[in-house]
Formats: sequence, C-alpha cells, structure tokens
Amino acid sequence: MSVSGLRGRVMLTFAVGGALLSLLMAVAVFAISRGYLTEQRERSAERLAAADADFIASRLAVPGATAEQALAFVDPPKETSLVLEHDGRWLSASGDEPPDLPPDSLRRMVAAGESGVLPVTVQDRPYLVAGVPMAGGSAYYEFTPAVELQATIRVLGTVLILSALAATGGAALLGRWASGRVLAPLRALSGTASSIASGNLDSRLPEDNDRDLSPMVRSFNAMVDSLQSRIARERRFVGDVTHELRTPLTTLVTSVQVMERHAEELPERSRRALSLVSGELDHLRGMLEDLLDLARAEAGLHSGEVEALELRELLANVLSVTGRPADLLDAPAEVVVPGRKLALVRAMTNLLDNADRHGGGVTALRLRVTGSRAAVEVDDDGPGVPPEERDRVFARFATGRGARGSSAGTGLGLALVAETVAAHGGNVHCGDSPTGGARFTVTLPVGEPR
Amino acid sequence: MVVLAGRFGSMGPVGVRLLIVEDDDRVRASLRLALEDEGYTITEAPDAETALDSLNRLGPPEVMVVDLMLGGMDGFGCIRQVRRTSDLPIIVVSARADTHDVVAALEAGADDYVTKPFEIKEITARLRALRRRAGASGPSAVPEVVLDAETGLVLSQHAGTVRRGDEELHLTLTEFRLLCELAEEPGRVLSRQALLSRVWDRGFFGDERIVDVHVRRLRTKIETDPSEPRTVVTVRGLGYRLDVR
Repeated sequence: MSVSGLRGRVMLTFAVGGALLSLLMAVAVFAISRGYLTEQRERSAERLAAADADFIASRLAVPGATAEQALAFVDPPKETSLVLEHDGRWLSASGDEPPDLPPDSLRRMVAAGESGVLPVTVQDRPYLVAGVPMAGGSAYYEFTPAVELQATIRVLGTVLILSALAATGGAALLGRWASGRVLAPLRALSGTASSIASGNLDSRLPEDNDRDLSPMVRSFNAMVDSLQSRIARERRFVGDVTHELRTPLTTLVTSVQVMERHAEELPERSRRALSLVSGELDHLRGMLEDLLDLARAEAGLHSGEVEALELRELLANVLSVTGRPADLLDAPAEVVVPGRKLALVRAMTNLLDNADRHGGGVTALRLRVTGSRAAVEVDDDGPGVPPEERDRVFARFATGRGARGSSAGTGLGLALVAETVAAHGGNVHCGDSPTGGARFTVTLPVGEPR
Repeated sequence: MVVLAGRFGSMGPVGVRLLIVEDDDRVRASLRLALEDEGYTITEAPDAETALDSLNRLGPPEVMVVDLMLGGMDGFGCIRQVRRTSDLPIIVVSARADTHDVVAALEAGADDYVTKPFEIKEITARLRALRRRAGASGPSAVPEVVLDAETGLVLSQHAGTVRRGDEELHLTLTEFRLLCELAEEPGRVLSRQALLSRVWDRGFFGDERIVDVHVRRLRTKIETDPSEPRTVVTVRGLGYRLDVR
C-alpha cells in the first residue's frame, strides 16, 4: 500500500495516531501496574520481616538464649533466607555464613533505625531484601525471592506490547475504511468529470443528502448544467450561422456557374467583371468554410468519426487530389494514426496551400516516425518565417506573410491546422527548412483508435 | 412499379425528369437554371407537401434533389414518404453537414448527400453515379444468384429484382446496385472505400458512412434477422462481404 495517495496518508495518520495512543496507554498501564505490584510485594516482605524480627527479639530476651537459637526458631517460607547481625556477627538461618550480605545502602538505613526494602540480585536470581533494626544495634534481614513478581511484570509487558500492536493495526484498518468512505464521493466526482470530458455531457453526480457533500454536488452539477447549455448554445449558433450563410452562398455559387457556362454570350466587360465576382466568391466560400470549421472545432463539434488512418496513403491522396506531383512525398513506411479523415486531409491541404501561397511552393512532404509519434514535415522554398513570427502565424488572420490579393488565403488556414492537430492530440510548429525556407512540422500520436 | 425503368434508363441527363424540393426560392431558381443547362427537365416544389402532391399527380420523377430544412414537413419526412412508394435516387442538399443530419437523411432513405454551397458539377456527378445501371461496373453480370437457398433469397440482375421465394423485395436503386457489387464475387471482402467508389463514384475523401447506412438499410430488407446478418456480413476493420449459402 503506497502512502503517497490521500487514502494512504489518511491510513498512515490513523496508524501513527493509534500507535502513539496505544503506546502511551501501554507505558502508563505498565508503569502503574509495576509500581503497584512491587509496592505490594515490598510491603508484605517488610511486614513479614518486622514480625519475624519481633519474634527473634522476644527469643533473645530469654536469658541464656543465643542468637543462633533465636534465629532457628523462625520458620521461614521456602527459598527465603534469614540473616541476623548481632553483636557484630553475621548469622544466617541456613548456616553460619549468610548467603549474601544486604547492600550497604540498606545497612546504613537500618543502622539509622529505619526499616526498608531493596531489590537485589543474588546468584542471578532476583530477591527482595527487607531490613529491620533491632534493639542493641542488631539488625534483621530477610531475602525473599522475587522471581514471580518479575515474571508477572514481564507477562504484563508482553500483553501490553501486543495490545499496542493490535491497536495500531486496528487504527490503520479503521483509517483505510474511513478514508474509503470519505473518498467515495471524490471518486464519484472524478468518474463523472472524466465522463463529461469524454463528451458525455448528460453525466451528473447523484443527489446527496449529506450536509457536507450536498453543496459540492449541487455546485458541480450546476457548473455542468451551465457548461452544457453553453455548448448547446454555441452549437446552435454555429448551426444557424452555417445555414444562414450557406443558403445565399449556394444561390450565388450556382448562379455564377450558370453565368460562366454562358460566358461567351456576355460582352467582354461583363465577362471580366464575372471573373472577378467568381474569384471573390471562391475566396468567400473558402473563408466561410474555414471559419465554420474553426468554430466547430472550438465548440467540440467534430464531423466524422475517429478511425485508423494510414498517413502515407492519406498524404499521397492529398497530393493527387490537389494536383501536386506524387514524388514530393517522402514516406519510407506506412504509419497508422487515429484521426478524423476529412479534418486531417483539410489540415494537410492547408499546409500545402500555405507553402504555395507564402513559401514559393512545396519542396518536400516528409513522413517520419519517431517512437510513438508520427511527424509530417512540409518544406517550402520561400524566405522562411522569422523566429519572432513563428507562433503568430497560427493566429487567425495573421496575414504577415503575403498581401491580400488574388492568391491570398483566407488567413484562417494555419489556425485551422493548429486547432485540428491539437484536437488529434498532436501539435504543429514552424521552423527552418534546410534550404532556408520554412518547415512546418505536424506531430501526431501513432496507434489504433481507442 | 414505374421506377423499374430507371434500372435500364439512359445515362445522359437529357430529358430526365428531376424534382427539386427546396424552400428557398432563390436557391431553387438558381438550381433550376443550372440543372436545366445540364439537360434535366425540372419540376420544382417549395415544400414537402407540394412535392408529394406532384408525385401523386405526375408520377415519380427519375431523380429527386431534396433540401432537409423545409417549412411544414421536413426533408426527412418527405424522403420517408417518397420511399413508401418509390425507389428512385434521392440526393439530399443540406446546409448542415453534421453527423446527425447526414446519417438521419440516409436512414430516411436518401441515396447520397451534397453540402451547400456546392459546385454544379459535384451535384451532376452524384446524379450521374446514382442513375448508373446496376452492375455497370462489372462486365459479366451473373444473371441470377441464389443468395440464401434456405430462405429462397435470389438476386436477378437482368430483371433488376431481389426475391425471397415468390415475394419481390423492394430495394432502392442504390441498395440494388450495392447488392450487385457485393454479389459480383461472393466471399470476397470489399472495403467501404471500394464500395463507395463503385456504387457512388466517390473518391478517397468520400464519406464512408454512406456505405454503412446503406448496408444497414439493405440488411433490414434482405436479412431474416438484420441484427444477425448472414448474407451481407461485416468484416471488422476491412469492409463487407457477401456470403452465399
């Protein structure tokens, strides 16, 4: 599980929080319990030692009794060693020599007249030694084994560590679940957004009664509503303009063609005027088509469907249909791109026309494949485009490269190329050709349509 | 049906009766001038109702040019009405070339479309292609092909008919020619591009949706189950194939 995502981070936060909290609890419980258990054990050792010391004192008070006899009267529990300091001698219940002497700190304390308990280790085993002062400068000590206490504390520690680990894991799972719950609306949002982006404008987020979520859902849906109506408006507008302009243009084009068919019946001056009308009509038509194509491309209205297009064949056909020599094309291999045929044909034709109009004619049309991109290069024989103009040529009506006149283009051709290529996930740029002219390079992603 | 004559009609447009259905007076008048120059005999109708009335009174023309945006009944409705009784070639002229309109017009029964504004030679080329005789591109048209022995589907090029048993199926001229092209060599795949060029006489840049919609229409007429075609089969990524069984 990666911690890079929001979900991972939430989970990590929960886990760390759970770990800290359970660790704190465990440490506190451990410390308190150990303190309490030790205290209990020490108090009972001290009480027992005090009772035994009283008993020994009462025995010593009997005239003629020796310290050894007095000590022997005590019946100590198993594994408990008794040590008596009497008249400067050390006596123990198990023999003359005590198993060990109590630590100095305790002896000083007892010598000062106070009883006390200390943990000690004798032969690698834990003991509690309780010391009780007695009359006449004597002192009585009891070594009680503390193995059980230690074992209890160890078990307690283990249990607490395991609980802390379990709590940490539980917190992580809780975090995972909680983040899943929190992220579910976000996932729905991103799914809907990508569905809308892929053209499904009717997608909406489902209504939500959640107090925290419903404002987001409402504003998202409202945004999509307004986007949809805006797109619908633009589409309607483009459609209306198309119809309103194309209808009179049809009459004009058709009538001019009738007049041209009967041109020999016209006087010379009328014929010349007719040829002007005809030329401008072609120009107007070209401009209208380019404008409408541009508007359609911008409104996301694409005519035709994305299909697998073989670029070499497409370019060869563009050359033949536009009456250019087939040997202009230098394409070593076939390459398939996903695209809309007519749109790409139009873009390529525009590039060739541009080279003819402003660049003194096409000198080469090259198709190259590098990795997952296909590049189409159009070289011309003109003066080239100065570096500072190279972005501007793709703007609308950027007529910097030629005066308006009979050979002028619509001023929209390259803008349309840029728009079309961008809609195909590619790009176009302007550079230098090796002969000093301009080189326009279109790159497109290679592959089958998805 | 009167229109059978169209299958063996002359190639030249001289005297060919053409009905223009167009609501814009000026477009209609200019079209009339241009097409009369080409030799067609023109009948005009400003709306679908007049066009259908003229069909009833004068009988169907040999070709129709229909605008999609008409007052009253629209072009789609007009085409559907005409298709009830007639299989003549219909060309749609439309100021809109949106996917939706084109496909809807073809599905209503149009044979081809031209976008406004058009060159006159473009529309005459379309008309010429649609009026070509069935099987004209194949020199050795097989007189009779049994397409599906099971259902008794028989294509008879000379008679210009498709029959299932005793029943004659009403194919439009274009559907009939499409079927003939596919039946030329059963089992061989024809690309949409090839069909577009043979039936509609359109080049590389023609709209392949025309083929798809016509194949769909053809299937609804000749297939027993158009959703599971057995005779005209789609070969994914390549085109269409006619299977004889």
